[in-house]
Amino acid sequence: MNRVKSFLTEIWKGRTAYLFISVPLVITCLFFFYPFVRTFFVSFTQYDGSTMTWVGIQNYTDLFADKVFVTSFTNTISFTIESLVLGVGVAMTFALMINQVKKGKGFFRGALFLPVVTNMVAVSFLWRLIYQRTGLINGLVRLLGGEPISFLASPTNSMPAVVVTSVWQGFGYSLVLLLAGLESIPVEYYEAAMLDGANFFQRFWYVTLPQLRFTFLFISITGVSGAMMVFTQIYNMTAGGPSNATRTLMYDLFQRFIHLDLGVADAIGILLFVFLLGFSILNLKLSNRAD
Amino acid sequence: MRSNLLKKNSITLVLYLCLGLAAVITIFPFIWMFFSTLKTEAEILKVPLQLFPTQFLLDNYAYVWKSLGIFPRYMFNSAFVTLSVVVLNVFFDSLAAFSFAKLKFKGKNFLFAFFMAALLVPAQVMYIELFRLMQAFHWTNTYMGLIIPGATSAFGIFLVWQYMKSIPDDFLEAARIEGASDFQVYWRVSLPLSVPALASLAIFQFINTWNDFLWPLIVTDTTEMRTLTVGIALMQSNNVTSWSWLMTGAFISVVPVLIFYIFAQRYFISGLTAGGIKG
Repeated sequence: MNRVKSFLTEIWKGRTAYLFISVPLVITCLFFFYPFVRTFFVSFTQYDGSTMTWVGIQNYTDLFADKVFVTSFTNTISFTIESLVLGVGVAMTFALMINQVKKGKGFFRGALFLPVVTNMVAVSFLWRLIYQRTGLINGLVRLLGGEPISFLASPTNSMPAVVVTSVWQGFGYSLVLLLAGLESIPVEYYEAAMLDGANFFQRFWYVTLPQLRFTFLFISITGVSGAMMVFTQIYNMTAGGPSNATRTLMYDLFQRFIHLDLGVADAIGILLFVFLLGFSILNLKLSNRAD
Repeated sequence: MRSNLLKKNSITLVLYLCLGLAAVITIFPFIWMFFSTLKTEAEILKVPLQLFPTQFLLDNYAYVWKSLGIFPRYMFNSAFVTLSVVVLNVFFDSLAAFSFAKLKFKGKNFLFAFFMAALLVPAQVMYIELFRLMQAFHWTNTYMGLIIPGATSAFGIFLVWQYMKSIPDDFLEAARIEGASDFQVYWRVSLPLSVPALASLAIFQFINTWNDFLWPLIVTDTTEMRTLTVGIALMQSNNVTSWSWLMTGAFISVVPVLIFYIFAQRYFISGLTAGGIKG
């Protein structure tokens, strides 16, 4: 009885704090955790919005036997790997360059970050125009004497084209993080390496890269979860086509949602969640071991 | 000695050339977009390409603004939803952050961990069930449905908490001795001292809400309730295939952000990358 009483006194003492966190708490529970738990539950049912039947893990086994889903899955993985590798490569190259110059640092940083603040719908339309037969890139190709290239209408070129657009829009984000990382490496480390006779590449390999490992860890976790969720550019540039060449998991999920195949759509959501959680845990474990 | 200097100078020159080219590649497409809004359809598709329109026509703007969908309404919806989300987040996230950083209460660690767990789940994976919940609340196709699910964020709480915990307790004690309540300590002392973190949060939410596409696409279903991004995306499914109109719509959605960006570039960069840079 006394313990209950002292527990209640503790709670009463904290009443202002509970009041202060109440709104975010209610919103997070109601509009975040509840739909999440329900997504998990519905993924084990067949559900069209009105009748719900329990089907166990059937949605999951069906998915892996479904060609369209498997294609969406492999497309998403290749989009993720390609956009991350290309994006980090480009970002690192220009971060190193900006770090070397003395004048105009702020200008170049601002210019290369610019596409990051613009919305992906506008960027998608802009790049569709650029990729046209009569667009900017084919204009350059013609100037150099080549034949116009088909980008978004070609099953082989459409995914690389979407990757390039995504990298163009997003690499400034990694660039700013890497630049901040580079600027925080103490000059003494480089001076010590120079005294030991390390050349440019050795300094890069033994000083710069290890010092940036937390930045790389952060970029890979946020980058992978962003890329795995790719949707807007797919919806607005290719609609998953041609012949599913750019269909991704979120696009597949959305299509099944509008066709009221809700159980299967939720199963795709859960698979995405499990994949990303697994990836983050693995990444953190590996980086802990490396230290 | 001389050849060394020459080598250094030529390296610098190459660096500037590369960086200049990169800046052209990121900026020029937007210039191309702008000039496309002033061109006729035939001029946009012309071979060889021409950058400048032969006449500077504002017809596309007039047409898109008046006849296509209801652009002024899209603009208002985007502005109203974005402003609401920013204000609600700045207030409620910072209030919760203040509690976690400066108040003592039972279950604090557990509740904090609870919020941080939300950072592990990408919101998009449960949008279908969130939409079903909005239907149950009769919030589909309303401002409530567009605003309330994003009115607070675990990320915002984390961001402001990180900043507020570095405010020395003495500052708060001084106010308490003068008889300030917890809310007054938050409002008069902690909040003014956390302006940089609040600015980061506001910019973060501004960009993410203004540019958001999937959630407004799912939760709205009439022209009156569409936001700018969804409005322009649906222009083409409404059989608008004219590039000049599409570019005009796209340009209108980008311009407000670009104007803010040009004047407050530093704050945008630090706001959007907050959480990724230590300290």
